[in-house]
Amino acid sequence: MTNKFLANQEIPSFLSALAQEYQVIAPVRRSEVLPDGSSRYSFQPLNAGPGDATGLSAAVLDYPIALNDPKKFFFPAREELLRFQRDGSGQFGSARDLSETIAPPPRALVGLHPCDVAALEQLDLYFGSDRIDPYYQARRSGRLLLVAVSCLSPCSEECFCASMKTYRVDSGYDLLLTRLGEGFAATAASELGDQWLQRLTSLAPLDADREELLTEVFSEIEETFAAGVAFDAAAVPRNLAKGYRDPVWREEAERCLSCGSCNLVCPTCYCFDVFDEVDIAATEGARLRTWDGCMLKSFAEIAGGENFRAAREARLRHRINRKGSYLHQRYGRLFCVGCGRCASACLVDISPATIFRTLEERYGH
Amino acid sequence: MKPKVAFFSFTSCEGCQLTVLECEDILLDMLGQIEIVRFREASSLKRDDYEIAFIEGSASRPDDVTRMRKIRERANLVVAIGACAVSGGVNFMKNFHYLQRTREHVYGAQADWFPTTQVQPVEAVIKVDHSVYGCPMTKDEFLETVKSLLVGRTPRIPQYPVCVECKMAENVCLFHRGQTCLGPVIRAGCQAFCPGLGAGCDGCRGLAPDHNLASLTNVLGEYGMKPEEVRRKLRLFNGYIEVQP
Amino acid sequence: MGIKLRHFEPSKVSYLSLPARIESVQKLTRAETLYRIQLCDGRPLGHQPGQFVQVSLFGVGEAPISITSSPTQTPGFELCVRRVGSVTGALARLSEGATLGIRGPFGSGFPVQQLTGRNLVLVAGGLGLAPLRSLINYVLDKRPDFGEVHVVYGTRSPDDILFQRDIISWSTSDIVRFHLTVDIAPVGWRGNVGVVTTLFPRLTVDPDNTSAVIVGPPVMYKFVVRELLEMGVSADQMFLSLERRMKCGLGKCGHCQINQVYVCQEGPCFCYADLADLPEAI
Ligand SMILES: Cc1cc2nc3c(=O)[nH]c(=O)nc-3n(C[C@H](O)[C@H](O)[C@H](O)COP(=O)(O)OP(=O)(O)OC[C@H]3O[C@@H](n4cnc5c(N)ncnc54)[C@H](O)[C@@H]3O)c2cc1C
Ligand code: SF4
Ligand code: SF4
Ligand code: SF4
Ligand code: SF4
Ligand code: SF4
Ligand code: FES
Repeated sequence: MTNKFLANQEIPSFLSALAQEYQVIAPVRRSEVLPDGSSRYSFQPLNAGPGDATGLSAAVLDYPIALNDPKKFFFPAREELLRFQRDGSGQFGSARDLSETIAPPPRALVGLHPCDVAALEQLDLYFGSDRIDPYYQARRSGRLLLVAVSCLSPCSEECFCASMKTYRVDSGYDLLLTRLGEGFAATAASELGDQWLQRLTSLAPLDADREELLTEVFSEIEETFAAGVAFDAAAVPRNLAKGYRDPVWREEAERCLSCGSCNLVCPTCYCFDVFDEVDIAATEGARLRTWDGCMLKSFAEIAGGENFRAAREARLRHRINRKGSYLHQRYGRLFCVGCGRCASACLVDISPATIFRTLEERYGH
Repeated sequence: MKPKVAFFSFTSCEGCQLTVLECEDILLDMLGQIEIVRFREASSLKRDDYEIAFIEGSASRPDDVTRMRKIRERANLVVAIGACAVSGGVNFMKNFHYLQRTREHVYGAQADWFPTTQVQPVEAVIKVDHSVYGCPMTKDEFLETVKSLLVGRTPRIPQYPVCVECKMAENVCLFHRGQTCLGPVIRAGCQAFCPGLGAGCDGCRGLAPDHNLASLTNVLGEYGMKPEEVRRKLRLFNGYIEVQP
Repeated sequence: MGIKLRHFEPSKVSYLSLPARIESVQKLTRAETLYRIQLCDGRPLGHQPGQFVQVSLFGVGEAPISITSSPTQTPGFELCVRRVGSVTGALARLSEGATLGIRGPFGSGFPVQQLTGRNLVLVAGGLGLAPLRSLINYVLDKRPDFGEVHVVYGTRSPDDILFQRDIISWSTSDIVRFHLTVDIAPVGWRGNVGVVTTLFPRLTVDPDNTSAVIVGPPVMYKFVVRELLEMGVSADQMFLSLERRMKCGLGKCGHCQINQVYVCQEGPCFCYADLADLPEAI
């Protein structure tokens, strides 16, 4: 596979080259400098579509973490599933499945961090294998270039990708950019990525010195993150099973605001609600879905008021087990990438990492 | 048969009237589906054979109570629109000013001031079937309610707090900006209007049913807001909760 | 044993419902109505007893409803619906000839194969009789395949008794023993009063060769299961159907999840012994 050096001054032309063929999506600044000295970033489409090269300069490739991961481009917060017509008396009429009409432009997602790549692989497993969700699949199988950027150090106090082993990923993307001084090492990880690097003739190949430097950077990444390991991820499913009735759920959930923020920012949360909307004459309308969250009280409530997870502690236990145990039983892997978005969003400092670690202390032996 | 609909105004701040007016075009489009038999006091339409009554504003005068009761007798469905109608809204503050003075000067510490409440939300006077929250209510939720009643389903009004919509909009949380916000305990539906503009939620849509106000009060404390200040902040739109049984 | 998580050959799921027509409407009680429904394309639904469909009324929404008719009783299928909210309320306003949308059948049905050759105790509480009826009538249509069959039905009051026509035929038949009880009775009621378990002493079955199927409101399960265990019915011979909030029926929306299972996929029918793996279940 081809390796090249993307010098800082080459980044604009690199993005313009992509913009010829793709709608370029990349992190952009979303806030002023906040009191804690950091800023917030968000993945946004930059140009109008392939062929348009405006807006590219807003891209930020050195950034800590984006508010939301790129899930929203494959599984939007709100989307129409069907459009229907009601007949005169409000009955069936006709209905059309909109998954067949989904045709996103070719898209280049630039700036994904390793945890974002890992999260996307998990969503692929959930929506794209077994029982395939046609809407997700239509967006995900469109023409797509995934350009990841290596993380050199933990992006926040809340992230625990070090423990989850998602701070480095070897697959699931096309190109990887790794900061090397005045530019990035660009390494291909797929056929498509390789083709792109070959096409970008203005970029110099990665010379032997830089190759060596890159190897060093990767081992530094390993060392840095190894120092941050807080618990054994492999033992999480077992510890969760043993700690099912542990007081930790009540202890933590007591201060939970039931605000759902943790669900809504999580790259591996996929639950949704389904509902209908009608036009003003009530003759046509759409069936839609929208992101939902298991921390919200109405999530497991049925008509008549019965609620199978009425208590906050039951909901917290469900969310954390869903990440670290339930889906592990179904798919053989953890459904949390340790990005810490949930913990950063949580105003009362509830974090899966704290719970995983607590349970390890209590049941890990 | 087209359902017959009437609109009524009580003590309020004009805000919700404006929302209804904004929807007037759409309401006219809906005339194939509904028949408006009474539309604001100014209009010449004044029939009393309505099935659905939309009530804006709170009761603040003795004959308001009688009027509301009459509406309840005639209507099959009563919908309270806007914070003033739903919970007394800003109007409710009046009760505290008046009552606080009374309390201090007349009753001292043992003041039991509930019975002397002056401003009353609609639900304190008559049974309310549906509520459209907000100050002012949003056009979207007003229309959602009207359309839902037309097709015969429960309007889809969120139970969850503002944070849900705020996160969907990918706003930067005000707490991270060093500011404060009531969003975690307030019912959503406004698409996190104020946080989207960079201002903390003031709670105009009322407490979310599953709020954890005690916990948010602690969080606000860390941001330098004393419990008493939290209470005062909530009073702007939610004075009613302090006297609710 | 342990619960088996279902895995599928990769295939696309669909949220699109098929048009269906209401062939007949029969009001059963104040709140419950029985609908006979036929898919407009004439296809049979092809369900198993215990499965459910998503009933769709465009503009109102969708609701999961158990199929109450036995697959042996075609053409068409039956749904028994209690009016409690938007979709069920709108359904109650429909009459013969109306069209609605159907998706499904979904879920795992009762384990008919495993029940074959055994004595059966079929216990229903309230609306639980709706799903159970598909099994009862299936068993009666295949009567030689089963041993002794007891049907135990408990409901709130005589006014709430569902499927009176079936009940008359069950109670006058000598191929099934039918037992009825109500929670509260008006003066003049000559039947049993009390919760379903008060009828259990009448069940004269050999527990070793007996399987039980239980469908009712959440509160009912614990008591019924405890009694049956005491009678000697083994945990792996008890089956029950669990209700959860459902939005998709496809194993995607996450609403129906109980621990690691999706009720719309692995359920709604579960073996009681397997519920040891699902602490959230009952
Ligand atoms: C597997 C299964 C089988 C069922 N079989 C029957 C049956 O045979 N007859 C019958 O009358 N009822 C049955 N129910 C219950 C029925 O689905 C609910 O009463 C119905 O969804 C209420 O919808 P609604 O729109 O009328 O009420 P609303 O309260 O307006 O419901 C709004 C939404 O909440 C969800 N919801 C509310 N209650 C339930 C619930 N109990 N279960 C699942 N989702 C719910 C639905 O998604 C619904 O769209 C069954 C439920 C399940 C899960
Ligand atoms: S649970 Fe938290 S840390 Fe894990 S993937 Fe979701 S947001 Fe990230
Ligand atoms: S969580 Fe880890 S992988 Fe993800 S952005 Fe932060 S440091 Fe990078
Ligand atoms: S973000 Fe925190 S407070 Fe809000 S629901 Fe999640 S755990 Fe609870
Ligand atoms: S700004 Fe307010 S509403 Fe938005 S997430 Fe923060 S606390 Fe919630
Ligand atoms: S953010 Fe709060 S104050 Fe602003 S409109 Fe919404 S509910 Fe009202
Ligand atoms: S109903 Fe959606 S996952 Fe089961």
